[in-house]
Amino acid sequence: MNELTYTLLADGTSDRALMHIINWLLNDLFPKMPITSRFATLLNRKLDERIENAIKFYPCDVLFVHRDAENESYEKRKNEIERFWKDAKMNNERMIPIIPIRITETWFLINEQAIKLASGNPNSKIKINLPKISELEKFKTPKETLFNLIREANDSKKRNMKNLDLNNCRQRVAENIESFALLRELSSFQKFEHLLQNTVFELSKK
Amino acid sequence: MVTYILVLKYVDEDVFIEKEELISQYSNFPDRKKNLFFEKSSQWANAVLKGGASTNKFISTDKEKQTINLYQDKRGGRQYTYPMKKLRRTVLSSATAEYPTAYVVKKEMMSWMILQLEVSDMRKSDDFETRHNATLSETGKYLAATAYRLALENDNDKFYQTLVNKLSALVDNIKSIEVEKDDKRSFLTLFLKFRDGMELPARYLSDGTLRFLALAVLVQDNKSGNLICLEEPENGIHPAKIITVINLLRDIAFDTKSKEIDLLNENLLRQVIINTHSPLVVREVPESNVLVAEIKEYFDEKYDTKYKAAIFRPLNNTWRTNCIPEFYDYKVRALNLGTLLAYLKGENEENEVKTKEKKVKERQDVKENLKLF
Repeated sequence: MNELTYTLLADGTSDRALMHIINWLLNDLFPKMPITSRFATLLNRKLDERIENAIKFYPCDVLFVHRDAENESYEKRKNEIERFWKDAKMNNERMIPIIPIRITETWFLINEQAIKLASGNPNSKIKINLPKISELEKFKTPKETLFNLIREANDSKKRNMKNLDLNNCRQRVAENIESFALLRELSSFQKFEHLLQNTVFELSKK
Repeated sequence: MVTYILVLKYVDEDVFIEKEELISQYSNFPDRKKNLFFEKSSQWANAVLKGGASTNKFISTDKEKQTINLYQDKRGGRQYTYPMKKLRRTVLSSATAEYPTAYVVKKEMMSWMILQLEVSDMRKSDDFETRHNATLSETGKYLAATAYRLALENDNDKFYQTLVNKLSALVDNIKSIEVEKDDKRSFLTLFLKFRDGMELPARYLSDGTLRFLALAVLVQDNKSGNLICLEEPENGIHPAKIITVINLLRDIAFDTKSKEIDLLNENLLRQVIINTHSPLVVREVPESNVLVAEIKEYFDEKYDTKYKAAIFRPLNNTWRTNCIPEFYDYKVRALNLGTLLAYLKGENEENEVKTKEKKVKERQDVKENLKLF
């Protein structure tokens, strides 16, 4: 395929960091395919409206729809999204669900150096205890863990914590992860990659 | 009507010319008119597009021989050949009057201005001697001398009153503007006089006022360049007055839709290019005048690598998307509506910080009533 334009529709604005993962994967699978990427910023609350507006205002070849699995199963979330997609589809766009188990932050708990950099303390001597990859999808508190690891790595007295921007930390962590290959051990990521590969192959046939 | 193409190559920390071309693509008036896609009056087209050289190639590149050639305007005219590797400047920049089209294009491009108005320069008084042929410099020097020359060349009172009227849209209570000569030291100084009697020389005027004055003077100066570039005209301007600045910039440019053409006194080709970060500016400009700069990824077959480059996206359904200029080899893709709307709205949830005290926008009286204004 010559080039790909995609739009990411996510649960929240901090999930924009997922674009680093999407771009890494697309570049890894299709290194010669230039990508144009957009993040849909929309105020609607309901998923069906959001999906409809995403392709209306951010036309693309592929719409990535992100939903955290949280307490539901991958399949349940996938069905939810697909139900709304059927009605919203306009031209010949494809839709690929991204459903991290349990939430987006899970996919960023894979690289110690990235956490140190995000904490603002690149030479931190603090030992960063990341959960084992094999246990990652069962992990109950990925978000709190991510924040805590960053705080610990920062290793400053409480008042100096002002330098720490936890709001944007997901972005900072994601930016500093060069390879997301470790995620291929996670079932939710495997499903995502599989769907992505099939979709792009389908699109190249046209 | 000519097209100038310059392709530079950056290799080993040095810059080379890979291609230089000056051509006239359309040899007759109807073709030229057809291939200028913006809206224009036939009066303007007639005044601007007729005539020209009998040949259509003025500078061309011979890839095999690695030379760049400069041609005269007439058939069978002389040709000058430059070896590409030895060139330290463009061929266009070396054109002399013997190569009339290339020469005129060179002079034209040399007249283009990038205004980087410096307050310190605009505040200066000018030596009386500089009044001959004084023009506003890129930093705003010679503002006083230029105004003085223009007042002399035109109707003195009309010139200054026009400035007063324009500036009054920005600043209240202006009575008059004048450039006065200090007889002792022969300096020219610009003065602003207010209705309450206060008189301020240029060195006491604010940055915003001086920038505005400089632009207002440019509107009336036909000797100034055909292209004026200005960065972020919104800087230092009250939001409610941004429209005033945009209007002034529009006055500097020649309106190609205009049916009244005064060849002698007007600059038919004058254009203005600005860059901006302000949604307030973007809202006010005509839709086909907007190009949104983005970084886009491409793939290069020759070097087998992805790379990024700037792309300038027009808005959908304007003449810019309804035509495809022949010399572009990519399809121009319009800006998507979502990006435009998010930009115009201006809010950025991601970087928001929760404050202990209510933010201005969170006040109840603001939230409830903002939609009424």
